[in-house]
Amino acid sequence: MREHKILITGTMGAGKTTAIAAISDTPPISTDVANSDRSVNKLTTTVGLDYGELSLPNGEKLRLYGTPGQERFSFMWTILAEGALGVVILIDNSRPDPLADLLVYIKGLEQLMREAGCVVAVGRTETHPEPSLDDFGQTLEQHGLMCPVVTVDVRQRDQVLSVLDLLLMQIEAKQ
Amino acid sequence: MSDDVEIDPRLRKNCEQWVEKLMSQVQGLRGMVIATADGYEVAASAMQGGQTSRIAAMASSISALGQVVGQESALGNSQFVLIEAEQGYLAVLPVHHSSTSLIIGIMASKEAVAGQVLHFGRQCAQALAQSS
Repeated sequence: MREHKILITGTMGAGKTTAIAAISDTPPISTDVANSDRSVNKLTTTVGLDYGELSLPNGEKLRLYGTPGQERFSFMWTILAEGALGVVILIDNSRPDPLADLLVYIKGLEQLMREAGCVVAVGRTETHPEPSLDDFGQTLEQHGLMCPVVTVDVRQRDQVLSVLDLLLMQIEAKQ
Repeated sequence: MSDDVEIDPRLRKNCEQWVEKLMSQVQGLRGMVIATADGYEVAASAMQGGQTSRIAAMASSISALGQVVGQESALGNSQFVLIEAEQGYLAVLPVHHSSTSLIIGIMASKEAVAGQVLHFGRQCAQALAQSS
């Protein structure tokens, strides 16, 4: 059975753990611990990785690896990116500077974004429409990166699956 | 440590005292850090390269991974994680304090006895867990 490693990254609170939980065939592995950072209204935060699996209709399997979001865990991004065929970057548009957030992941994962399939998925746009998807696209373009930018509600399984479908198309196009 | 992370001053003081105690009493220690479970440094000894904040983050990842491996393999809660490297050891132990989950990271040279490092690490973890 062919298996593909997919990385799901993004800021703290963007919904990486939620996204994997929404689509994993089995209860995902999670390394969430109590959050000490009072500036973020979140009870827990991922410090190791999230892991889930998704079987595809064609018999192949996706191995889903979620990274910690905070930059001080960037060493985990490098570790988890090894061998990944594609990456989903989840952005929380309700944060103070989502474009700056995207730049953090471009800086940390630029090589993977160039070589592998990549999708930027922006959440909370219904309440926070700015920056626009075009703004994210321009930021990517300024760094010579071509990744589709879409909206997503990570609580909705079908929307997360759509993001993965888009990522798989990106992966196929790069092969 | 981030300005947005609040640690009880008495607990922090306790952590600092235990770092000082182990660094002075346990042979072969190269460094020690006590951090929140999500990787913010609470107390640390001086380390080469001044990388205590990164060690704190890494130790929290290691501790969490140890925890999940223990659960997934039905072995129960992780008591410690011990990494043996070419030039020494890193021991990571969880502290189950009533209000603040902490982790202890102890780096030791090959001169140290791994069992002794773990013994004192456990002593520290138990004392901090019971502290007010």
